[in-house]
Amino acid sequence: MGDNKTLASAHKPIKVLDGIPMLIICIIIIAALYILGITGVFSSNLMRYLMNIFLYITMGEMWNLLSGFTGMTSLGNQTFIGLAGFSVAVMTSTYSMSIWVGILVALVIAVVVALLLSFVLFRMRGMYFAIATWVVAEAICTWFLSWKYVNQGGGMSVRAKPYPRIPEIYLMALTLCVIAMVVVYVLLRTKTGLGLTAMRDDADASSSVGVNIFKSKLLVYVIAAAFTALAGAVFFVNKQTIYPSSGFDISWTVSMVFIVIIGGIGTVSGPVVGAIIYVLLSEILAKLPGWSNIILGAIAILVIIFLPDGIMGTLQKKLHFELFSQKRFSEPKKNLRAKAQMQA
Amino acid sequence: MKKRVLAVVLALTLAVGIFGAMTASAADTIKIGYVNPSTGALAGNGEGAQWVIDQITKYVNEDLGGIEVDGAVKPIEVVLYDSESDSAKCSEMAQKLIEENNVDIMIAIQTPETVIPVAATAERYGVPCVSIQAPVNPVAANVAGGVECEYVFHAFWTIENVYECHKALWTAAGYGPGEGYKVGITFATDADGTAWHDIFVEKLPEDGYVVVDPGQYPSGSNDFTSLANTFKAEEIDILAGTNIPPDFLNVYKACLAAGVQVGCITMGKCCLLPGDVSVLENDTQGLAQGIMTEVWWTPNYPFSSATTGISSADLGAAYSADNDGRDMPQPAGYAYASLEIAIDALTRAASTDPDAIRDALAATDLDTIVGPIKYDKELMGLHYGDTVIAGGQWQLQEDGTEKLVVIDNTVYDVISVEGEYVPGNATNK
Repeated sequence: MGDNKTLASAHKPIKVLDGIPMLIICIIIIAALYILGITGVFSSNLMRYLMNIFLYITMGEMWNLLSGFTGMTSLGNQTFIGLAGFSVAVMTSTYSMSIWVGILVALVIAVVVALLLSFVLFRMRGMYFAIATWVVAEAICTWFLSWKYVNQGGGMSVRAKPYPRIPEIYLMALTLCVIAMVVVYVLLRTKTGLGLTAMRDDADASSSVGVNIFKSKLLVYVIAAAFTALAGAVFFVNKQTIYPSSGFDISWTVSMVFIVIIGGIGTVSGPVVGAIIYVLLSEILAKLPGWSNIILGAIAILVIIFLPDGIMGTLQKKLHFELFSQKRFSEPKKNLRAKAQMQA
Repeated sequence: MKKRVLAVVLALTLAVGIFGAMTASAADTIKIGYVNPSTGALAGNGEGAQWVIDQITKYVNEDLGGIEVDGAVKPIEVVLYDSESDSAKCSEMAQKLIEENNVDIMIAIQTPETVIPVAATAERYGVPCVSIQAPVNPVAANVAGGVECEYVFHAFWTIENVYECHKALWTAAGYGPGEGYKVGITFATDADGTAWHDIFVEKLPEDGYVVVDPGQYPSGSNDFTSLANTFKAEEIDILAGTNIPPDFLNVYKACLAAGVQVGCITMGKCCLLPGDVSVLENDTQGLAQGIMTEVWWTPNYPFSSATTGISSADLGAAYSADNDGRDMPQPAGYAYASLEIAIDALTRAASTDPDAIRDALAATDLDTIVGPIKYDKELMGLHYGDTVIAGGQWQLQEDGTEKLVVIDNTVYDVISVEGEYVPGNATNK
């Protein structure tokens, strides 16, 4: 009896939540976030929370794109955050340029560095790739610690008159988050996106059926670098001061991993849930000196043990739906019935 | 079942936390924001902050009954967040204090790594900020940078003064200026190290010393063999610098391993606390005895608080009584002074209007536990006031403990000298 129930549940059709109704819901939510932010309905403090959530969603989506969808687990995404933060600081304080110029320079530098690194990093796979990305981040950090141009380890400040207020940085973060999610969603639904997941599951097999491994990896790596850098740039516009130890800190990647694991690796909606939980927990735990990292770590371990698919991954499996799925349509019921009968 | 339990735990954690975050701050209080390195590499500097906060809060709320602002007497509330010794977190916590806790005045304290991000955030938001306990030069360069700070007022010593203090200590040890003694310098590439390095490299030749500079290094480095070999080859007479305790321990152990012999050692930052010196002593088999450093404050300083009326000696005794007999750390003295300045400014402003508090801060002329504070100087747009500094040496006492003894008061003669220079194991030349 129980087996039949399990079998029936397993073959319940998966509903892909997309199409016009989903698009309309997303547009309404995004429009509401813009309008409530611009009109001042949201308090400055609420916008600070949301701004952090949007930036962590962006970074989480990019780490998820690399690791969850492409199989390129990186421990060095902080490279692009640090480079972006220093780009903004150098352009605004050394050259007295606007913050926008700093963000643009951050984007260009991240793309160029990603292209250069790809020639070395793409020769490695799996944990070798992960460790190599970390080593690169540490090496760049060490270089910045001794580089007089960026004031060595003494840090730099982002300067602007007038300095952007929270609502303005909120809008930057919201826009970046929306674009990042659209890019990931659209990319995953293209032929290239299909190739990426095939590459994640078996690189050699996917190569043998025509997936261009190097090109696919390069595309994803550059996209992830660009958006991670943009998120890093906006983060440091808000933080205002940057040190090599803070810009290139491994804790950035630890946050991204936490967000993706909690939310659900390999799901587009997972980082959204993960980022909300991460930001709320971080803010709450600020009142408990010394405990915040322990509690965050304990939660991550509990989720890994009991919810290995993360919150969204588990919900999608249990409730048989997929949000922002790679699938272009829901599975027809008759196909599932036929499958179930064949397996029975 | 287990998954349900986990879901309930997660939901409860979030719900309780959000409720706590929303209700934690009392509405009708004067709020003072305080970012402290309670954990992490700078935790030693942050020691005693909570005790000091409790003392000041108790005094103002219970003894004085509060402070009159905006026509009503209100209690004070010091909201403290841990920076985890992470400068990025300092900005976040400062922002949280301003946006969420609506603090009326901010304290930026404990080394440039904490002071700079917190003070910069306060200046950006237009929140009056008592900035203290980080050398003036790096704070001026990073927070002001040539543009006048309107809301940040800083108090501490300048690198120029600390150089004079170290020079006086070398002189006390028999290595005075003009004799061509070789000074091996050890500075990390952090904000402190870079600021000290530039001034020392400029001043040492002017005073007739020969600089042996093996180059700055990233804080946290482990291998100092090259640096030690340079010092050995150059036969340095003096070892000087400023380092966090782990860095200096590594530097010193490398020097001992290479057989470097020096006449005296002056080191900032790493020898402030008895705990740090004790670790250094244990890890070098007692060869750090006699090390010298600048002294910012001790319970023996001749100052009393005009705000609370307590003397340095009584404050130090109270701290020892409440903390298992431990000496009150120098940074805790500055923590006390920072809150004294804040209370004084709030009292004189009699308002929670930021501009009124800022104007009151600018007019500060207060006797604090660390000496008189008056923001009458300016560097690169930063308004600051000098605090006193003296030269001290860690000397072995009869009971086997190490004590920081003030042996020189060249820079500020208001400080009494407690003893004379004693050659120690650290001076093996």
